[in-house]
Amino acid sequence: MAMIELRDIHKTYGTGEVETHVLRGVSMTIGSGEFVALMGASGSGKSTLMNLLGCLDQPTSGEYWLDGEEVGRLSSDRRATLRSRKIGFVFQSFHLLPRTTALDNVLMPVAYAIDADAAERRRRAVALLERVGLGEKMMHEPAKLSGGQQQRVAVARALVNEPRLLLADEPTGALDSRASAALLAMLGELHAREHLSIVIVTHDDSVARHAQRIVRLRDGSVVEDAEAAATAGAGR
Amino acid sequence: MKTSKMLALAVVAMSRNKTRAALTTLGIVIGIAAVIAMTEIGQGSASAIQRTIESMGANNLLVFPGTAASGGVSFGAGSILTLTPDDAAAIVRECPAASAAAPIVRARTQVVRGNRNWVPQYIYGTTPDYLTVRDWLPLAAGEPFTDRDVHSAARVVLIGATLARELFPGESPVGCEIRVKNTICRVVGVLQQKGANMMGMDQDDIVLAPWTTIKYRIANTALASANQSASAGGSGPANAEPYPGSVQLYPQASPTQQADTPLPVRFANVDQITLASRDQASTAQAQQQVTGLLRLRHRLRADESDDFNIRDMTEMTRAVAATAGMMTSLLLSVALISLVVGGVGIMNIMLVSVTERTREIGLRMAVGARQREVLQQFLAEAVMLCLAGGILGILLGRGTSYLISRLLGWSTELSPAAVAAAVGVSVTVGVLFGFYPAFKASRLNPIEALRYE
Repeated sequence: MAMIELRDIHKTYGTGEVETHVLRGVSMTIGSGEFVALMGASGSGKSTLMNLLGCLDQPTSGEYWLDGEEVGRLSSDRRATLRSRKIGFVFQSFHLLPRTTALDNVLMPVAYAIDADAAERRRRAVALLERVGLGEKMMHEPAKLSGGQQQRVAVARALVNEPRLLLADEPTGALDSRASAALLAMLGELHAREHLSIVIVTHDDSVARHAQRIVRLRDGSVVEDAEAAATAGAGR
Repeated sequence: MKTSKMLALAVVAMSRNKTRAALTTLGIVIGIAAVIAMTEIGQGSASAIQRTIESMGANNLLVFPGTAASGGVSFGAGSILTLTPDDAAAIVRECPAASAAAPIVRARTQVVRGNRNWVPQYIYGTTPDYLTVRDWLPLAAGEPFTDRDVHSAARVVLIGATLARELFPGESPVGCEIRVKNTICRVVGVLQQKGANMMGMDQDDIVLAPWTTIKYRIANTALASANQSASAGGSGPANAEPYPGSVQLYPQASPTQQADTPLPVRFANVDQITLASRDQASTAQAQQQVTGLLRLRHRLRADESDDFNIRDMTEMTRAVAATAGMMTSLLLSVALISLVVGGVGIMNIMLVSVTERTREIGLRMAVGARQREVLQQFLAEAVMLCLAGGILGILLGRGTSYLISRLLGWSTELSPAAVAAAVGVSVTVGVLFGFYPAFKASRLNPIEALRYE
């Protein structure tokens, strides 16, 4: 069953003479439980595609089916609800709330989840933090955590509302190689355990190699879509 | 999102930056404190001013006898004799809105002392209550005459400052004797200086004496006027016991006898009754009660018109009302200015806060916060800042006005209305000035907000 189905997505910024055509007819399908890496040089449109996938933006034309629902034309409030229920985000610069404990950071999205059982979500937050290896540091503020630890808090936060889809935008961009490796290993493990669809945006081949499938964009079009082992050559 | 959750979020957000929250609130604290302190001090001084104006006689009511008319010719106010000293006593007894009343008998004659003489503007025969009505206590020197002096028509007078200056240059008049017309009277006290009244008449040019003394000894108008044609029957002053301790030499008529053979009783009329209402506000009420009482006492039928006139000090009343109104609007404008300044401070800081937390707003939107929830969150923060500021401001303002009243001795008045208004206004300020920043936050594009550096 397809988690994500894109049909001829176009995205144009600006109006009239200075139009910028960022996505030129992207079509692809990502199955439920797939781990996909989205690659491309800067300006290739991968961030725009990521925003569309995360329902933060709307396509100029084309259809976007998420988990069996056409979401390309929803109102901003409906999209907000959708994000809360189905999508988790991990960002390059972590985006943790300052002066707020790791646990409270993880619990932050719960406030916006409709009909969430607060106590149950709290137990889940604690369990998630333990699973990402931060059981001891639950009450630490972000400033007292290393970059890798902060990103793991961010991953726990992305998963607290039990999303179907995890979107990670350059999650290792601000981490050193050891922390990157640890984080990617953790993502791989989560993917295996939770049957989660993961889309990870990166320009780093060594990161992309952790995915099952690599989609390459150039100038707003998909130029390559292949199994990870096939493209990387020296794969796993 | 539930309100309680939202308020908790706002508290958490504020506690993340305590210094800024405190400084923001300071604007509102000072604003509200200024409002409370100003209102309390202002109300204190307003009522002090009102008391001062009232002491000029703004709460006085003057009752004059009515108008006689004969063959279509009216003789003007005071041309019939209808008021008695008992009316004055009854007014105090039976009208709750009147605090004091005094009858007045007027005379105009020469006052002589040694080789000096003077014709005072006012020679008033009255009761000691007159001093209460006119708010003329305490005296500058000596003691007022007493009710007993009134009963016994004692030859005692109080004189005003002008008279004291004219007749007793450089010496104390108390205890000296003056001749009023042909009666020797002892000066028992000197009145405090009051200056000219609103008409420019010198209020200190006055002699006060028991009304019995003026009526029966000095003016000697003991007989009622010609209008009371049947006055021949009675004898002696009509007030119950003009000379206490006197022996009744003749058998008195019993009530039955009196009813069987009605004799026109001699009538002790007075020229005027002056009364004071409890305060400025109850003047109209007092006027109503006095009218009812006097109509009853004078046995007027419903279709008969009043045989008396009541005058109030409309001009002064208006001055009091204008003063109070002016003080109120003055205070209101001060309050508004300081609150607007405080509100602008709140808006300023909230805008800074929105800019500073752009990434946080983007993040909250990304994890599912709807525009409305972002708006509510920032609005809740602004309102809570203002509310906290309002509460602190009330405490500070109360403290300030307490200190001022203790240290400077200014009169202050507690104003629950101001406290309620301050809370209401601070919440309103929070909503008004918090809305724009909150609206701005809610309209942010999550993608741009997340990228904001």
